[in-house]
Parts: sequence; C-alpha cells; structure tokens
Amino acid sequence: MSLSELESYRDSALEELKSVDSGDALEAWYRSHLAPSGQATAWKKQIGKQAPEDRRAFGQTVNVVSKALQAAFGERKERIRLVELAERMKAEAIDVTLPGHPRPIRGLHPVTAMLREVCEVFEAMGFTVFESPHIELDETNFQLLNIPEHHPAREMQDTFYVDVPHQGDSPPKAVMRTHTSPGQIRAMRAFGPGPIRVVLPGRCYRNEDITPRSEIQFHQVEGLLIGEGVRMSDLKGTLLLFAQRVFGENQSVRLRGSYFPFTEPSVEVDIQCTLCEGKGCRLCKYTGWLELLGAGVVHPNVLRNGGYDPARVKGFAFGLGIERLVMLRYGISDIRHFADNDVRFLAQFA
Amino acid sequence: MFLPIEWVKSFVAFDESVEELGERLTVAGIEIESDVGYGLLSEKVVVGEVQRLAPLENKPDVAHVVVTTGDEEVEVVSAAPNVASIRPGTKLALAMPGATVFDGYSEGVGLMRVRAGVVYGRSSNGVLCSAKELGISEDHSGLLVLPDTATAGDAVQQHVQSETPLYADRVLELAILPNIARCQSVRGCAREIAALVGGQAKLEVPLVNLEQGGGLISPDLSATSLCKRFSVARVAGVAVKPSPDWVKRRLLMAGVEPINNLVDATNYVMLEYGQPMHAYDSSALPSEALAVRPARAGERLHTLAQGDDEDPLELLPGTLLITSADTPVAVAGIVGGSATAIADSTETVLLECANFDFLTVRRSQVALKLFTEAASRFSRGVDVETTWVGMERWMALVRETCPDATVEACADTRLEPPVPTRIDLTLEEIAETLGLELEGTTVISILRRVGLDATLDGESVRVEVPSFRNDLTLPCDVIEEVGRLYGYDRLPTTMPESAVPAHPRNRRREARESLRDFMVRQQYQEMVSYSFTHPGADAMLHTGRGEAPVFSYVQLQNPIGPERSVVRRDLVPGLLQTLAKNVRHTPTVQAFELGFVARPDDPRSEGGLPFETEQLVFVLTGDRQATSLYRKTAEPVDFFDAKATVEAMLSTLHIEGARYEAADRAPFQPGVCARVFVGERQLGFVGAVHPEVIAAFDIDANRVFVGDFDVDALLETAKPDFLCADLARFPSVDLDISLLVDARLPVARVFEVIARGGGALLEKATIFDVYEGPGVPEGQKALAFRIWVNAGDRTLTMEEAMGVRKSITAEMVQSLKATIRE
Repeated sequence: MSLSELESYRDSALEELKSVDSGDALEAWYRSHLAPSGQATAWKKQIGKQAPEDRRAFGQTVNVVSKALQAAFGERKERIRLVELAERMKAEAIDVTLPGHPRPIRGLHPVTAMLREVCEVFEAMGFTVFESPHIELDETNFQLLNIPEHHPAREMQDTFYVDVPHQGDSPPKAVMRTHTSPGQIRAMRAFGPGPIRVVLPGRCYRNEDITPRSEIQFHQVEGLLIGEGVRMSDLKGTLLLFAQRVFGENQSVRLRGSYFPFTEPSVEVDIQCTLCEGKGCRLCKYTGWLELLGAGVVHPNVLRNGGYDPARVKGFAFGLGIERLVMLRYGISDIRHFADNDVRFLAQFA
Repeated sequence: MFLPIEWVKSFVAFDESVEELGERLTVAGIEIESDVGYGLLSEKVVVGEVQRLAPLENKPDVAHVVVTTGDEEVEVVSAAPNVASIRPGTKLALAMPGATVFDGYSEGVGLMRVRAGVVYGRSSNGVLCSAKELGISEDHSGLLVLPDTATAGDAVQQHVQSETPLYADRVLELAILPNIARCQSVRGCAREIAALVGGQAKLEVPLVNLEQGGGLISPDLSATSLCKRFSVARVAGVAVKPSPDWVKRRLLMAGVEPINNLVDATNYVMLEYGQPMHAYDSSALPSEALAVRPARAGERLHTLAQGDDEDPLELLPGTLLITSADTPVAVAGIVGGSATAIADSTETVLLECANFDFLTVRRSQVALKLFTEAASRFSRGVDVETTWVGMERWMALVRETCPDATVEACADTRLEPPVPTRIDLTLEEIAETLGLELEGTTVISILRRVGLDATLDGESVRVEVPSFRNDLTLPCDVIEEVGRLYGYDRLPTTMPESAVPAHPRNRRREARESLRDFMVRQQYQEMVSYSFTHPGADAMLHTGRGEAPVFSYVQLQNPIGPERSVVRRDLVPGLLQTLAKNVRHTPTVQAFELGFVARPDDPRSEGGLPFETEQLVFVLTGDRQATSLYRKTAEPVDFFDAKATVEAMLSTLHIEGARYEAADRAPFQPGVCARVFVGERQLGFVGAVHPEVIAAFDIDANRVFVGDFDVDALLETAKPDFLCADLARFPSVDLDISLLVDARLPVARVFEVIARGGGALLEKATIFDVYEGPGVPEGQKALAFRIWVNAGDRTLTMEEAMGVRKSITAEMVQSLKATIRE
C-alpha cells in the first residue's frame, strides 16, 4: 500500500460521495468507508504494518484522508437534510385561503356581560355588589319606597302581582319586583345605620305587551350611596365618570328634572348621542342626547324607612336599564332578541 | 296635555322659538311627547311648484295638477275657483298626507287631516291650500299663490308674512308626570314657562263676579268626606249656540271637539284653569239641590261616555256620585249623565264646579275604565281654590254668546277650611343637598318666579305654598324647585368624599359568576330565558313516565297569557323549548343557563316570600365536532360528553369525593342518568333526555343530554381555598391490571376498590378497556386499568410497587369476586 494508492482511494471515495443524494445512500457510503468495517478504517489498520521510517508520514496521511472524508460526509449529510426538508415543506404547502376547521363560538349572554361591565365600573369606584330577591313584598317594592297604595306612580309601572303560599287569613301582598329599588331597603336593613355604597343588579318585571321596544322582563343596575355630606353634585360626578368609562372619555352628561317617588330632587340623566356625538340624528330624535338612567337624592321618607336619620345623612340613588345599554352599544332595535336566545344572535357577542 | 302656543302666549310673552321652549321644558322635567303644527305652521305644508296641469275631461272646472317639491312630483286634484288661472312655474302651498290644515268649507274654524286618496277617478296625494286652509285668513276664494322667490320643498311658513296667524298654531304635547299636575292647565304651563324664560305670567282674564246666595241650591256633602269643595250656580237666560271662533279654535288645538257654547265653556275653563266642571240642564234635574254620596250596589247611570243605545253604566259600590233627589246624575269628577245633559232646548243651567278626592277618582276611573279629561285631572290633584273662579270664568265666556245670561243663585260648600302649607328650610340645607352654594336672593327670586310666596330671613327661607302647588310639602321638594329652575347644568361635578364603606365582599356572586365563566370555557353558550312559564311545564318533563306529580308554582295574578302565567321552578323546560327553536337551524347546540327559580313548596321560604334559589342547567345535542371539508363523518355527542362537563366542573370547584350512581328520574331516559352527590349532599343529575320528552318538546334531535345542578349545593361543597398539590419529584410506577367481573358491576365500584387497595401510594387510576363478548365468559366483562403509584418523597422500589398491585388485586378478588387476568 502506497501513499499514491491512499490518495487515489481518497479521490474515488469523495467522487462516490458526490453522487450520494439520499439518507439511505449516505448511510451505505458511511458503512463502506467510515464505519469500523469501512475502507478508511482499514487504511488505519495498515499504519502499524508500515516500515518504521515510513510509519509516521503514512499515519499522518491516513489521518488527513480520514478527516477529509469525515468532513465531506458531514457536509453531505447537512446538504441532504436541507434538501429533504425543502421537499417536505414543498409537499406540505397548502391553499391557505381554505377555511379553518369549524369551531363553535359560544360565550356569555350580552345581558350578563353588560351587567358585569356596569358592576365592575362601579366596583372600581368603591361600590359593592348587593343582590335581592325577584319576588318582593308590596311593602318593599312600593310602600317603603314612598309609593303608598293608589299612588299615581304605580301607574308608571305595570306590576305583576303574585299569589304566595301563606298561613292565616291575610295573604302577604307580593309582586314580581318592578325595579331593583327594593334592594335599597334591603341594603339599608343589612348595613344601616352605617354608610352604604352598593350596586344592585337584577332582573325586573313589568306587565307590558311584548314588542320590539318593551318586554315583560329586563335587567337593571341600581346604585345607592348613603353617608354624611353626600351631595347631588356627587351623583353628577359619579354618573359622569360612569358614562365616560362605558361610552368613552369624551362623554358628557345632562341632568333633566324628572319624578320618582323615592328620590327628591329626581333627574333623568342623558348622555351625548353615541351615534352622532351630539350633533343630532334619528337615534336621538335630533336632540343630541340619549336617556341613560333615572336618579336623584334619596327621599327623606325612604331614608327614614330604612332606619336612617335624614337630618344626619343623605344619599343618592340611580337605576339604569341593561338591555337599553346593550341596544345602544350594538345598534340592536328589537329587545325581544334577548329572551329569544337564538344562538346565531348570541354568537355575535361571544 | 296639549298646549297650544297661541293660548299660552296670551298669558306669558317670550321670544324663544317653540323648539327652544320645548328644550327648556324638557330639562325642567316636563317632557315633550309631540310637537305638531297646524295649517301654515305644519312642517308637512311645503312649497309645491306647478309642473303641469289639465282640466278633468268630465269636470272642466276641476284640474289635475302635478307639482314638484324638489324631491318628488305629487299629483293633486284641485277644484279651487282660481285653478284655471294657475300656470306651470307657479308656487303653491301643498299640504302633504299627514298634515292637518283648516277646513275651507266649514263655518268658522274646523280641522281637516290630509290623506292620500282618489278624487274624481284621479289619485290625489295632497291638498293645494287656500289662505283659509292655511289658517291665515278667512279667504277661501282660491289657491294662495306664493311669491316666486319661494323654493320648492321649503316649509311654506318661511315664505308667508303673517305676524299673528288667524288660526294656524303649534301645539306641544306634554307628558304629565305625577308631580306636575299643575301643568294640566294652560295657566299652570304659563307660570312654569314664565319661570323658565325669566318672564312674568300675566294671568288676568275676564270674569263675572259671583256672590253666594239667592236660592235653595246648597249642596249636601254630609254623606262623604271625599268631596273637598262643591260650588254651584243657577244660570238662567242662556241659549244653545255655537261658540265664538276663537273659543272653538283654542279647544280644537287643545284636542277637544267643540260642541256648543255652554259645554265648550266648561271645557275651556278646564283647559285654562285645570278645573273640570259640569253643566246640567236645570229643567231635567229632579232637584237643584245636589248631593254627593257613594254609589249603592246595583245602581246604574247612562252617561255621556256611552252611546244612546248602550246599556247604562253599572256603578260599582264606592264610586262617588252626584245625585239630585237621590237619583244619580253624574259620576263625580269623571262624567255626567245623559238625561240631565245640556240639550238644544236648555234655557237654564245648573253649574257644578267641585273638588273630589284624587284617590277616589283614580280608583273609579280604573274600575269603570272611563279615562276622561276631567278624571285625568282629578286623579292627579286639582287646585281646591279654582271652583269659584271657574264659575266666574264660565259666566264671562257664556256672556259672549248669551249677553242676557243671569246668575240666579250661587252656593259654595267646603268640607274644611284650607290649611295653608308652609315649608321652612335653610340656605345651608339647599347647599348641602345640591352641592351648590346659592345666594339667598337668588333662591328667593327663583321660587317667586314659579309663583311661590318665598321670603328670606337671614339664612332661613320660608315658603308659603299656594293651593296650586299641592306637590310641595317638604323642604326637599323646595330644593328640587331651586335645582331644577336654577339649572342642573350649572350644578358642579364632584365625587363622593366619604370613605368607602367596609361592606363584605359578595363571595356568593363571585363564585356563581366564576361558574358561568367555567361553562363558557367548556364551550357552552349562555342563555337567559323568561322567568315565567306555563303551569304544565314541569309535568311535561314526566312525559313517558305515566302520571306526573302536581307541581306548586308562584302564580301571577295578572299574567300576559297562559304561556307565561307562573314563575318557573326549574330551568329545564325553558332550555328545552329554546333548544327546540335553535336545532331547527343549528343542529349542534351546547348551551347553559344559570338563573333564578322559585319553589313555593320549599320549607326554606322566608318573610312571607316563596323560596328562591339558583339552578345551573346545561344541554347538549348534535355532534362533538362539526363535520366539514376535513372531517366528513359526524361524531354525535353522548352521555360521556355531558359527564365530562360535570367532572371538569367538580374538578374546578375542588369538590372531592363526588360519586355517581344510576338514577331513574324525569326528564331522563332510564339507564342513561346519573345522580351526582357528595356524602349526603345531592349536587344534581346528568343524563340523556327521555325520547318521549324530546318528542313532547318537539325537539328535532335524536338525543339530547342535560346536566341539572343545584347552585347552592355546588358552591357550598366547593373548596375555593384548596391546598395546591406539589408536582411529583420522583417518577411514578405504572401498573396494568386486567380482570373479569360480573357484567352488571358498575365500574365505579372497581375504582373504589382500587382506592382502598392502593392506599397512600396510589397516585391515580384510569380505565382503558371494557369488553364483553367472545373470549369472555357469558355474564362477565373484561376490564383493564392502568394505575400509577408514587411515594412522593422517593423512588418506589419494584417490590413496593408490586406490593401495591398485590393488595389491589387481592381486594378485587375478595370484594368483587373478580378474576385477575395475568
């Protein structure tokens, strides 16, 4: 075995490697050259058989050849990996304009979502959520809220009266709550005579025709703040901040005189029309304003009924309709969608 | 209340436009329900430019005219005398359909509503107006020709110079909230407007001075305390005639049809003063000494609200009546009787002007379903001081048509002398309530502008409340007047300064809302159904099971219909109904509702109210995953999809030791229903809906699965403060066990045995095969479990692991009579 044979072996092995173009062929080449049974290994075994004076030079050459083959093998292997990867990716290319796998879109009912949003905005102002029953006594729904029997204000709310089981001769007079305001009395009973800052979310009921604009059930969030030194201007500030948080930082509010038996003074609170930003359009009937909620300073009779001394503390209260807010925000014109629960309607809010 | 602008302007002058006035009233708490112009002032009366016209073939003096409003061409048939002289290009006043103009052919004033229609066989979609039709003069001799400068489509009022239109008017319709009864009269509105525009109302009107005495007509009020005042006058020398045009016009604008001079005068006084009154034909009364008393059972009266051939009205006991010689002649404050009404022959009138208790009138109008103008006023409260002046005003009006009318007798009976209301408050109270410091002089001037007698003494404000403001009784009422009239727009914007109260967190609500979020994460759509259902709803869930039990409901006394006549006691029927509607268009539905139910038979009812609780129900039907281009075969959901939701829910709530057992219960299919419980506490049920129930609810689906859970039970069993388990630091050993057991043995029993046999080293166990059939003995089934064991603090030796296996298999053999397959 001579050096020239070694070099010629190297050249032929490298030449052979050039035509290797698959993982399998590369494996075969490796086996016949670099593996323990391969030719390059055989060359190494020849080193000891050389004459002592040639052994060093021969050994060096064998090493050089072996390293060259190793390096070429490494390069080839990487080349083949890249080629195969490119082929795989080419095979995996698809029409990305095809639709995705169908995935159902499901979520909270928009009324729940809005109830939460409203409560969260007030919670950030230090209000706590307080809940009360759907079925109320006439006393808490009306009388203690300064709405005695036959008060004209009862005409403002068409009430569902209910039969409740009872013992004895005089059945309690009970109603499906017509507003969340009876929660005011319950909050006063729970926290009185201390200060109060609560919001009362809940479902309310009115005996009305079911039309695109009116429903027999709807949701409200009532607010009640009682304490020393509470002023009507605080009501205005609180509701302005609420309007800005819900409808945008540039919102402004307008207070209009109104009437509720349980507040005095009473106001309706309007926000700038969300569609035309106050310029006047069909939605706001060209007034630039949209009615948001009713509010006022808690009537002294109501404070007294809740166990407070109106000479010492004052309070404000407000109540807003949730469906109305959802309808305003999403441009919904038919309130019946909410109880209809068509999944195609609901999926839009998921 | 319809407020004609011309009428109110006769009491208070203002420069503001009607729009501005409406805005002021709105902000001050008097909402404008509508704003309508009549004749010239209607926005539906526009300039029409004549395009072409031609006489009708068989009616040469009638023309078919085509005018343009700029936007559209309108065909009108006109018989105006000057129509032949009209040339194309002429500008005319066109009243569009929906406009109300004045009737050109009526004697004096009358109204005509414009409608689209067919005249002489040609379509006519408007009216071309004369000056009389526009209400600006008496001239009805031909069409009013507008100046050439008018542009087609403009409102005609921009092009007609008319300082004081003869009849044309604008009318605001005001919403009368219970606290502004004072605005149910033109004078009351004038006072309010004066305060809002900073003017002074001049309320003097012609009156005929009356004095008591002159005959036996004093009313008898002894039978009731509900008539606060009763004034009466006998007026002779009258004759029934049409009212003067100016009276008719004001009545028409205020929405009241003119009848005759005597009746119109009563209506005029009612509109002007807010004081209803009634005129009887004296000759038809058995006695002129009227009395007031409650109706007796069975009494009847034919009233002016009924047709001639209608039966008399049955008067419910308690209804207040006016009687003459004990015979009913009117329903007090609501409507008069027909027999004693003004007739063409009336020569002597007995005039009644009284004040009745508002609650009594309110109740009666509802009971009798008679909502008259008079009742509307009495039921909100009428000024007790206007009965006498009302008669004086009536006389002045009647003298215009009957100069010889004479008052022969007059009487005025009061139940009790008026008690003046006085309200004292301080400037400090006003400032503290509103958050606004106002000068004493400012406060006084605001209050005086609405007619209140207010005086300032240092820091104290004293208000003597006039009789027309019965809504003011407390200092807060006066503070509202100050705030409202000063303008809430000038109220500062502040935030509450008090500390946030230390209310407890509402953990119950937080936990319940988390449960909702969990259901959404599990891919369920939330639904919010009606709280009301029909009384057969729960019985429907028992379809296919024989006779249903009787369910107790909270019943509505006045439901909108049988379908929504009781309060729901279970969410399942409502959700199945909703499901039925949805599967018609969406066959795969996964939905849930978490909401209120009322169970009046539950012993936990409190304070006289039925027990309310919350229920969580979920439904699923259709396919696990929708079929598509990529997934061609449908994979229907099954019981274990529903159960997976329950397992995930219990895991989220950290409810430990929950167990399932087969249950037979409505609305589920026997054999496909599990009761879920922890110890003694029942949490709910999950299962397949009984096929007969699916049919009863008309759900177009093969199978429907329902989970039904008691929210209280879930939240009270949940452990929100669970201790977090550390991750295993040493590898687990897994052991497979195959066994044969009795085919009827519930797998849950095997898991119990594994738990017992595995002891403290057991990490978890799963089942990976259930098989019955060839190769397994008859009546048996083959089960295969994989069990992981871990000591937690070290790697288990193989011997220890095998020891666990041995103990488990021994338990299986002993407790379950299992055969272990090695």
